[in-house]
Amino acid sequence: MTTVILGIILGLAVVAYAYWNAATQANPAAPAALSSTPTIPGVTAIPGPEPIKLLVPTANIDTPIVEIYLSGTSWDVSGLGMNAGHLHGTAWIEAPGNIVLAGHVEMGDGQRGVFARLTDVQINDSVFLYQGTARRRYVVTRVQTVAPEDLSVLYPTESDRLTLITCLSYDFVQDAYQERLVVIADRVR
Amino acid sequence: MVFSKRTSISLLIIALFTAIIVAPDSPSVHAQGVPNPLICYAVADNGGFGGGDDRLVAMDRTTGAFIDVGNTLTSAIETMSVDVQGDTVYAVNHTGGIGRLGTLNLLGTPSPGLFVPIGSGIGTGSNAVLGSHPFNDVDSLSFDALTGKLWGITQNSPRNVIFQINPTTGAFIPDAFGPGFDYAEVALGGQPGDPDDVDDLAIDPISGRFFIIASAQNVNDQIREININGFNPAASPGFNPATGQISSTFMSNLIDTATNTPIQDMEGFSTFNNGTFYGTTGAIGTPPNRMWQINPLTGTATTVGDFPQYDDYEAVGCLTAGSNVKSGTVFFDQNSNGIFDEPPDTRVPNITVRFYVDNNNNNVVDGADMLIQEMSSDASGNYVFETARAGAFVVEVDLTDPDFPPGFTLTTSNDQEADFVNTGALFSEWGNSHPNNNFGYRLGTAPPTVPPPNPNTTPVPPGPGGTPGATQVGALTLADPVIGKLADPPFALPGDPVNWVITIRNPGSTAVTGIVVNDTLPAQVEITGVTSSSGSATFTGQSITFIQAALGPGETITITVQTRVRASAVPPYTLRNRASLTNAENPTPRYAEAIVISAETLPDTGDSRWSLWRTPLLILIGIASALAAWIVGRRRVSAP
Repeated sequence: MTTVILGIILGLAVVAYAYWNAATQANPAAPAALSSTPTIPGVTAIPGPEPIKLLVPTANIDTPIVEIYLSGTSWDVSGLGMNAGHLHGTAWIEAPGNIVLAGHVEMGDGQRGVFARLTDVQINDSVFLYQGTARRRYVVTRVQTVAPEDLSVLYPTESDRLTLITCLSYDFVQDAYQERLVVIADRVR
Repeated sequence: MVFSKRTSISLLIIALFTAIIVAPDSPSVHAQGVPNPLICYAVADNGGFGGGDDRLVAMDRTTGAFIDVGNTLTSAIETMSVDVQGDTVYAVNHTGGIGRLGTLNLLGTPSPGLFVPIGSGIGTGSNAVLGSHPFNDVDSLSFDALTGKLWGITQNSPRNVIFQINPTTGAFIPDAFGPGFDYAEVALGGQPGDPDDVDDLAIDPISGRFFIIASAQNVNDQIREININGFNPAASPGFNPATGQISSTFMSNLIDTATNTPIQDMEGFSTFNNGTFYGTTGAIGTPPNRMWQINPLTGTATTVGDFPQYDDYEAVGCLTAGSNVKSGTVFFDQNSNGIFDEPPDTRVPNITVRFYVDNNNNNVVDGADMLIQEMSSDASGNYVFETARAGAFVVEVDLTDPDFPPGFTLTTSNDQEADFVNTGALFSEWGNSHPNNNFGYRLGTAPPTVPPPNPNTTPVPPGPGGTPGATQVGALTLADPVIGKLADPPFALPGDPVNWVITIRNPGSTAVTGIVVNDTLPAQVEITGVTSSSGSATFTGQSITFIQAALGPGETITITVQTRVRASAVPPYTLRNRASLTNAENPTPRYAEAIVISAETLPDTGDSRWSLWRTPLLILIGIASALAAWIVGRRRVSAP
């Protein structure tokens, strides 16, 4: 009978956990304001006022870049949608440095995210930033997996670098992705 | 301890009941503050003036699905409109001989649907030709998606007059049509057979055209266009100050496309943000109590859905997608680098900024574009424009503004464009913001004191902390020393230590003298010490000063400022810090900048389809476990 009691308690505990978990993870339904493409004063390498796009042919990525801002201790991607998001505070194209872009691997409705195929990218693949017809070309030099707390991939660099980040390794129990896939590409002039 | 069969069943029922009650629901109508682009709101008069309480409902624009929101607890609402943000429903209630603006609660407290009045009444306006007119029997209400203005029209009592309302105070806005003209009478033709009654107003979010439903005692319904300039009503092509009237033009009669017969008693009229028009028929409509999609140019109407409950739908509001925001700052570009970086740049108030629809999408203001809003930069130099329209926009400053000093020159473009377009997700063209459209200027036409970075500059080596990434800004020649700066680490939370490492290197072949470095650290960090590989480094308060008499060719100085982020700093923050360098041979400051960000983790870029299913699955697993345990228990109890 003790087993029966424990079974019932366990069952109820699982139900209670489900409620608690759902309640603590409840999100406001409002979509966060989506920033539009950043306009960068003083851009000379990619002239023209057009929005800047990211193109990764091997991952079937062709998407506008929007600015995403800090919220608490990370960047708010709740309004990112199918865009690539430039992490506010990392370098941008007006000066040398590490430009960091993030994109969803999967959307809440199960739709594939804009970076869903980032896993297909391999070393030596080309990555492009387009502004109108002008472009910057980068070549992938590293593909790695890091923990969510590993900010080293965001560190500034002396040279032009493009870092792409998305989520990896979904954990059903914790309802969270346990790792981040990072693709690092260096600029080719 | 033994559970009886009844107890086990009770526990199971409790578990199921709790699962049903506690599991998060997904309301069809959002609470106030959240746009829902799929629906239009509507109000049923439900018994007429003085009869039963009016009822707030909603209908899915795409499926015709009906949603009952709640009782307004009033009986005299005849018009409504959703605001530009798409999150608040306004209505006018006509009781006690007073027309009063208010909001209708959307699942809010104290009860959904409740009419909450704003102010004490819209008031009585005047017209220099036609005299005073009370804005009481208001049958038309509409926000202009382009300008953000709220417009109302009174029913024929004794005139149909159009006026503007302040949604914050609920009172009319004086002189909306110029001095002495708070309102204009809407001229409806005046010939036999012409309508005499305006039933509702809808403003096209795309073109800004004002369309009305007009009728003669609820028959012969027709669509007319008021010949108004929504941005500058006093300059409207149809406004005649000599008569106090504004003209309207017949567009079409309302026709039901399903039966090819006229539609009567169209009482509600509104638009969705993409320019699709909707209307609702009242109690004596043919047919009644239906929501329609309407082409305002042809008058053809198709059925969206019939309202299955309540009666006499006199009001509808469909501007539910949300708004787009474009903002920026006007600043004096002290260092003339075309970038708003303060200090040394300073904010400039009272400069006129204008917001245009970029009709030909060429990213500059020209004759094809439509001026929709204008404001002055505020005390902080900021401006904000908000519109419920999607598409391409441009902002400009007024170069003739007298608050610009004589001889000024813009250091930024005077055409700051933004495109709010669909990015693939449903309704993604609304709910966006486009900040940092900044306008900088300097005095005179002298070259900038801080030229852009020189690509031939020798990179600064990594600092002793091993963190690469000095950002260099400054004019450099082979004779100039080079300044670089980095933050180590570049990510820090309150209480964390941060070293700011400044490097000065002389890449030339001759010595430089009189080297001075100044650096003022952000207030969010506390300086705990400063060291340098040579020379003299001191700090007072937040300011660092470094002096060295000379630096030989090829030599490098490293200055390390040890700081700690103050506990009082509140994330999120971006601590941007810049050091300046001068020397005797080149007194023009050169700068290097470093940034510390309050980040702790990489962005969480993974929603998951399983997020939707895991809670129900966990509940099912729990219930199954409890059920299994109960079955096992029952078998044991019943076993001999």
